[in-house]
Amino acid sequence: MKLTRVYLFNVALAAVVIAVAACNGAAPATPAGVPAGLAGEISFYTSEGPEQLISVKGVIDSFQKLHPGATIQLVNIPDDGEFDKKMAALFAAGIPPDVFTINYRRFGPFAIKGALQPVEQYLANSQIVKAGDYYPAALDAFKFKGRQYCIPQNLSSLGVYYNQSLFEAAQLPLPKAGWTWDEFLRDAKVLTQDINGDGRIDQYGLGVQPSALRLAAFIWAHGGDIVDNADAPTRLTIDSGPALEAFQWFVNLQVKERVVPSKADEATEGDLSRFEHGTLGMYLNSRVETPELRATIGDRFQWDVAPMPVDKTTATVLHSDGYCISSGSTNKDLAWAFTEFATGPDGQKQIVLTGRTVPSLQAVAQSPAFLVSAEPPANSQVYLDMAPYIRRVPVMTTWLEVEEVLNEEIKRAFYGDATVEEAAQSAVNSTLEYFKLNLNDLGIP
Amino acid sequence: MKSSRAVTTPWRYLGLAALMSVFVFPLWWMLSYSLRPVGLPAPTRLELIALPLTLDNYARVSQYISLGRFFGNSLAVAGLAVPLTVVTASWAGLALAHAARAEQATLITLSVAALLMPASALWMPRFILFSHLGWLDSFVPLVLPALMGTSPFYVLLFYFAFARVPLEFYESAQLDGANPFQVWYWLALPLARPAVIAVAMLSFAFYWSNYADPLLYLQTEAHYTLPIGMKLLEMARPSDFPVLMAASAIVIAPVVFLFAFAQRFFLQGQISLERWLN
Repeated sequence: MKLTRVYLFNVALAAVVIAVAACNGAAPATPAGVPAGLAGEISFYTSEGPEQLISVKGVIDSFQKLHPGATIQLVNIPDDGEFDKKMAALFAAGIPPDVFTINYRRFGPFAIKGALQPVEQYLANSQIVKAGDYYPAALDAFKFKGRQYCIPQNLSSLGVYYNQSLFEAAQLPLPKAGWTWDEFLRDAKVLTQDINGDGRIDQYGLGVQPSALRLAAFIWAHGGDIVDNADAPTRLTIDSGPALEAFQWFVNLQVKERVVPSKADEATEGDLSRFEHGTLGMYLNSRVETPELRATIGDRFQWDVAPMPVDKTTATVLHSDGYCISSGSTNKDLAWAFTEFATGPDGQKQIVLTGRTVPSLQAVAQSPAFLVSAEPPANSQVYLDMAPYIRRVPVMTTWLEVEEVLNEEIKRAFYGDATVEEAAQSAVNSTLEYFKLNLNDLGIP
Repeated sequence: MKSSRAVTTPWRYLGLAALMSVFVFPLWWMLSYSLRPVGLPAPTRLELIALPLTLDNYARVSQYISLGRFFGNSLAVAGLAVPLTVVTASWAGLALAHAARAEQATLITLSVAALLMPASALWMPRFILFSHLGWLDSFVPLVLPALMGTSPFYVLLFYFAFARVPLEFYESAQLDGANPFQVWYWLALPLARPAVIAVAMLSFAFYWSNYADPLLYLQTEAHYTLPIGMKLLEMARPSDFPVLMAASAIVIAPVVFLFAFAQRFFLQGQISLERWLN
């Protein structure tokens, strides 16, 4: 198997956490004599941009007002790419964060090493939220081996941001629910233009990252799947059948149709930058990009969001992060109180105003706080309409390693450095070990 | 002889200028992009300068991050660590120069082996150590490597500088009654001035641009150093390149100025360059 950086890091994490856990074997899982009421100090780790941090601080302030004896120490990890490193260091040193936010694709390794506190009992006894209040797609993404480990704050999914002004100028019908792959490709081709006649494309019709999280949506929409079994996957299935056809169609967007920037053009200016400067017709990303687009585009042009185009079926990819409590926390009652506040109606009503999340609480998502906004996108309803069609990548202890390999191969095929068959075959072969490891962790022979 | 020299000299200048432009181009691009008017679309071909020039981007950096505070923090860390590094690395280098042959061989082998150790292998043990000592979220873990000379490379640099002088030179001073510290300060350091400047410059560049350690050890935003501040700025404005370039220019300015200032101390080849050009 490929000794990728992520894999090596997880091995190091495993070794150290096991060693430290063995040494600290006597440490109680719950505080013995301390009455864990709603007082005390807990640490909360997250990784947000400076503007989002303001609303997180607002949630913390509201919580501290309601519970005067409680203090939440907020630590913002400045680089979300280094999140794993910082978390691993904290757990290994025996000072795990009491509460932290994590993406559903990443929490598997923490769950399997016993670093997370299951919360289904807390959720069942809660006076503020019930399991049924959340969108099932989001809540289920944080289940592992039958236990609920985290509470989601987000039901974001992959959508199509589009430059409405460019569509109108080209006299194209605006994208709407149920639009097909053919219409999507046609729009992208029309919007790919050489504006100043110098022989080089200045405006591209589509910007999409060649990665597993994007390709998965296309594979599912075409009737295929990325793994053979969502709960106990043994291999990637992108090397045959509808999955391979979808992979080829995705790669053709760059290699054959040239509606996506080439490797050189992508290096010159990224998709986000092009879309913000008005030289990209459509940009595939999740809700997370909305605050940045609002701040940078201003009113230079009109833009909105559309659902993913439909092929044999409707599908999109889940993007969700959740609040987790570590099993080593010394004040779990306070940690849960903060978690249920932040992911409950009070917390989500504050966070939704930043525009970064699609609230995981159905009531907040369906309220005007999310659906109606003075700023684009006007069509936030799209995210709720897609809720029944949201699918997630498998929850595995080794998913990040698989994703890293898959991303490399998709990128190679996307920019024409390998054929789709070669890339798919290589991805399938290189990741077999990771699936075996995951099955071991799940206790499946 | 003289006439052929007169013909080739302009070509030599041209050749040097061409070579220099390759290296200077990234700096030029960074500067010119930082002076770019806000809101101008990205250039589609090579654009050396965009008029009208504006200093707005430099002012805007402070809107998104506490630039002054991060600059001060970086300065504090480097200000403590660089002199400490020069002192401890030169002590180690001088001791190595005075050691017996066998000891020298062992110590140099150990130093090279330590150099081969990847930095990421040290993160976990160091983090656990500092967390137990209660030194997280302070500058102590950032400056502490300076107590060990920061890197075996600097120790070896000093060793090579000191070893050029015959040992009898130091011994005669000791016979006259000088103690080891006096030998080091009055004899060894002045002789190895280029090495002192080189180690000071290199260690300054290391501490100034150190990203991994502050990311790991610091938790409060008020304690962050400039590299972390740059990351915060990138998270706030990911595609606003004029602002990012302005911040980059501010961050590398001290390093560039120091290197330019220190050039004359350790570029002995300058004399031969002048001769080659004339």
